[in-house]
Amino acid sequence: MTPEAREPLARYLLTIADDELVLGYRDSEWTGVAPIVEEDVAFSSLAQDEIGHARLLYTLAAELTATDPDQLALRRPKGDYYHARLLEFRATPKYDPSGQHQAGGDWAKAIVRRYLYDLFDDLRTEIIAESSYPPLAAAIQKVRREERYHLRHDEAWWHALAGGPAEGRERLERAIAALWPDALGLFEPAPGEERLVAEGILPLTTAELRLRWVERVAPAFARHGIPLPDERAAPAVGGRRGEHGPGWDELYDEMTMVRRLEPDGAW
Amino acid sequence: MTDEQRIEEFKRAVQAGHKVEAGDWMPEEYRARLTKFIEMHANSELMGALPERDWILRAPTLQRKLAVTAKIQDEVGHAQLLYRLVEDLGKPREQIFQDLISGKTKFHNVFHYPTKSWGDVGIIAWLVDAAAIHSQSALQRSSYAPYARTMRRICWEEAFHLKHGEDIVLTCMMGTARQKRLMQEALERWWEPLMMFHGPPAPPETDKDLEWGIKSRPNEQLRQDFLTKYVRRIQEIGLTIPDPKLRYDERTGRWAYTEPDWSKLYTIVTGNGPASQARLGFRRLSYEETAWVRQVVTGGAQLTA
Amino acid sequence: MHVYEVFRQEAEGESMRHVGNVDAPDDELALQYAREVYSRRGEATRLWVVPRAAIVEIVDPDFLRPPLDHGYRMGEAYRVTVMKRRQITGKEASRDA
Repeated sequence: MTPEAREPLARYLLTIADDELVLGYRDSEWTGVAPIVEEDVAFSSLAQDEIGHARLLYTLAAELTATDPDQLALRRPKGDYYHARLLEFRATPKYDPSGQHQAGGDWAKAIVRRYLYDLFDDLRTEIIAESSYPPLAAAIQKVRREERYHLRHDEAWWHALAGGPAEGRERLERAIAALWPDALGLFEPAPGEERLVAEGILPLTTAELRLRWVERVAPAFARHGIPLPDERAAPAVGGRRGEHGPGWDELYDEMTMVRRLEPDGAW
Repeated sequence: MTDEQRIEEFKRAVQAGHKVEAGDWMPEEYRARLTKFIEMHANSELMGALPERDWILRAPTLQRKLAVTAKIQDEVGHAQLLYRLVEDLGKPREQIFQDLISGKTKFHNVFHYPTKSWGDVGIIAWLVDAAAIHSQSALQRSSYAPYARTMRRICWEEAFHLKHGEDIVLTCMMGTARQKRLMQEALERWWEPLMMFHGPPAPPETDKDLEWGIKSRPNEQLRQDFLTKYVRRIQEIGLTIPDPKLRYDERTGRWAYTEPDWSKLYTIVTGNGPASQARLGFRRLSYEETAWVRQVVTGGAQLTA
Repeated sequence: MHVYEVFRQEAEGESMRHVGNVDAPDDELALQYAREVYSRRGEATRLWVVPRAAIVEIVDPDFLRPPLDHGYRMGEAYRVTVMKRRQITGKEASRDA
């Protein structure tokens, strides 16, 4: 690896790690409020896996930038997180000690987000597994072994909702329509990806995965007669540059809340 | 043999150590008591996830985030194991949740309180789970074998929770004044609920659940066991237990403590604790918001086969 | 004939344990044969006989023992806890800590 690739690689690692971290945080919120208790438990494991993957990638990034994984995960400024916007919104209701809870839990959105993201992540990790940067390739090969079962879980729910009674199907379609631009935002490249491709650290840029993703998504939609939204629609971008929405404001505030009490303390 | 003789014979058998399985014949009173007892246990595991759940997002390191997530996952996992037992005793899951939400069935007193800081996360995982492990260990000898077996798995997992909680508390007690204060304040919030945890010291001979062998150790004995094991461990790390009367009486071999106001316990578990209604409201909201999912996966049928 | 898998409880209160299988034309004879094969010396307090076709199996270690570090679920992650207590109390940790 040339010295010029170091910074783009660190940025790329943070980008993937942030995706996994933020989805892991959001999915962990289903604990205690999922539709059936079996799913409380299952979603928690999905969340833990994602956070474990994030930790692995932060560790690699920390080696390049002389810091530590916790610093990267929990102590960057709010605008220095690079996850896709799809991953940051809250899909669960929110508890309020006053009893005035925030409604809006939406299992269909949670499933659609997971499925569309995992299909994307499967393609992304497939190319990263061929990276010429050995620590990354080795880490991602392990990650893929866990992710395979995430996709199976997503698919089971996708088929249950899409192939079941009308209400589930309608909610699924509404969730797809609402999340589609955010899903396309997954393909926004991290700055410096071309450099990584030029050096063989990445076989392809993230943007180049889009067509392959549509090829994976289309049959899953077609199987249940769900119309595929316009894949040339304008994607919701900005996430890869640290520009986020209100879902991130809320999450960032919570995830740093305790740590901020003693930022340098041992916890 | 008359029904009464059959019931007497059953009672003698369980008192002599006979173990009952789900499909076996059992007296209606035994079934009803078991259902009520296990259902309250299950509800407590599920409702117990809510106070801790808020802190899943707030854990201060990645390792704590993973451990807290896994810990609360276990609690809901315990609810799942226990609800299966209740379903097998004949109560459908939809009914279980409707009764919980409407306040018809109860959950444990400690889950009716708010969690105010990271200190609560440590104190709950360490001491509330420690109190729970005392009663749950005794339940491994329950006459109802599926419950006893489930308790083996639950106790095995709770042991990790204790360590996780103790580690959170110790780490803060080695930290800054502010971190120590988080823990001391949390202990002060949780001590009274902890002392109420095992219930009023009912005379064993009047406790029907003991008579049927559903549980095997009286309330007061469980509380004494807890104090014997934990008072020193709490004090030696620099925490102060907020009970001036607490002391070990060498003469009687028992712990003396300020008698909790047992009418307050009753008030709390009947839905009038500081966070009872907020928690039930949240349970209701999430249950209603996901009703359509259950409709979809069961086609409107009961979840239990 | 169908294959039935046989589970045996060896003492009251114990879990059912898989002990093997039998071939039988129907459920009733499956019970009879299971008794003959797995409990004719009274080894069982209870038998479950289950059509093999009803069993859903998974053996993949990627699923059952995932490759990444999940040690935070286990006790080993808290060996440091004993050290912390020792440090804070300035003495040896109690035996049963």
